[in-house]
Amino acid sequence: MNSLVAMALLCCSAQSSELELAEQACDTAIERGNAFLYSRQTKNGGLSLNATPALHDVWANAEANRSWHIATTSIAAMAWMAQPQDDARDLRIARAIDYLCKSPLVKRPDDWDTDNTWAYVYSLCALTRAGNNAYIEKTHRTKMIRQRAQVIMQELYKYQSPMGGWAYYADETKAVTPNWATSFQTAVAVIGLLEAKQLGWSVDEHRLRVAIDTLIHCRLPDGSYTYSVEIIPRVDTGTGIDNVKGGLSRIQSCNYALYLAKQMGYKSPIGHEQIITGLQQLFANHHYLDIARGRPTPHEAYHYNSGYFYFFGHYYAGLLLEMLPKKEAQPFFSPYVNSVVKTQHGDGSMLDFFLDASGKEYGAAFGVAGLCHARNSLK
Amino acid sequence: MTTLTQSQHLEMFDARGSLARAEHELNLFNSFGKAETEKSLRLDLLLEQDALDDSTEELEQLKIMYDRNNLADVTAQMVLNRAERNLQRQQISVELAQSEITKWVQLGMARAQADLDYDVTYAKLNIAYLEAEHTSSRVELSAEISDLKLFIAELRADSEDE
Repeated sequence: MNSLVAMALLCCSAQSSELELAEQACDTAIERGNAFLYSRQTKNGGLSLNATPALHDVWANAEANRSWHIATTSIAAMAWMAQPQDDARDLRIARAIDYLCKSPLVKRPDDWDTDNTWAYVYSLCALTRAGNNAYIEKTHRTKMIRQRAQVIMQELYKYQSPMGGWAYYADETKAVTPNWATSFQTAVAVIGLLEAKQLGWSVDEHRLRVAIDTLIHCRLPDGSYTYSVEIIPRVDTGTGIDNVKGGLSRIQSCNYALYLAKQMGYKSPIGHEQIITGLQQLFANHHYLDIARGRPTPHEAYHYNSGYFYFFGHYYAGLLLEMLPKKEAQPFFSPYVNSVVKTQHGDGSMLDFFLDASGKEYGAAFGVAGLCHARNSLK
Repeated sequence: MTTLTQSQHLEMFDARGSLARAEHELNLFNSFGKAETEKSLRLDLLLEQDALDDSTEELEQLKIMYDRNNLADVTAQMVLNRAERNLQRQQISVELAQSEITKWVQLGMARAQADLDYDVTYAKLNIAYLEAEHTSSRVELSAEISDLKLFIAELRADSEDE
């Protein structure tokens, strides 16, 4: 009996020391990530706009490049706003938000290319987070933020596909409004719109409701979501993308959007149980994302995983951990921290896909933001 | 004479090979080809009909989805118009697949049979022609040899008289 008690105590002690080590690693990675992101913030508040994109850079097109730049600046601002108040950081947040509010709206890069939507969805999310930021409120920026968010939402509505969601290419029709829509970009848009509504900002309720229904439509019986919004959604067999192994990151972003929707009174199938299942699926199949991370060609890994799925999915997994009760979040904390910290470079950056102008920056911003939210789950 | 005989053997070997191949093709056609070609054309028709049914169902679903979302936009009408035009094209593909079966049963099968029969007959006639030609060649060559022998004998007789 005594030996059983001793074993149990030993296990508890091992678990708590593992948790402490993970917390320390998390704190260190956040600090190092912050240092890198600070070093990349320019005088105008934006992060590393590449004025001369390399020929081998993906989409060496000025407006597409500016879309990455605006989205990266937005994610970095969100990463900073997810951290405890700090005077120096507040100044950086304010500069980034000023830049997001004052820079010209990103235009559509090409007839087939609607990557400007990435700038819209992430700047909307950054502005809604800023709407809850004490320093931003104290410095009388709230009105400017709300006005800019309204402009962005109007632009975003113009790109909502008749299928109900958003995507970033329009090759299918080359129409003013694209027909193609994806689950994961729709999820980011839904999060931004829901957070705007929470702040009491004016949101087109019909469009928001349609987008939420579209996400529910994309949800498959195995808990994953189709990549595109399909007329008739179905689970892909074999090495397809529309299943758990090909949708590990989509599960997290879509679950977060639908969980938020449920919290705000919308009909949604996502509660704690589904969040936990989604996180279990992420860590049980994490090797698919590990294999894809760093590969140069989109969708070249198993189940069409791309390198850039990595931090996108981990960021939303961090947000989901924060939504769970401490006891339920705790078992995921160490594997989560490990999966992000192991990617950090010597300079504090993180990289999952080569983008000359913003690859390291968006990686670090997503990584730091995810770690911050995951850390909050222990409080 | 030896060279002539060898080249004739080669020609006959080639001609008999052609006959064997033509007869083999004819046997295959009668055993499987006729029925399988028709079966394959009927499968093509089924595939075209399935594609038509799938497109029709998807168009209906798309209309339901667009109506439910009710995001009035010209893109929706554009996609629906394209889907309608695709259905019209698919309908033509079904008609063409149906017509291919009719053409095969009414014309193609008989033409293929006639072509294969012709190949066999041609190969047989070719052998007969070659056999006749070889006999004739040998007779002509023998006659020429006899003439030459006579000519040589005459030359010898003349030279002895002198």
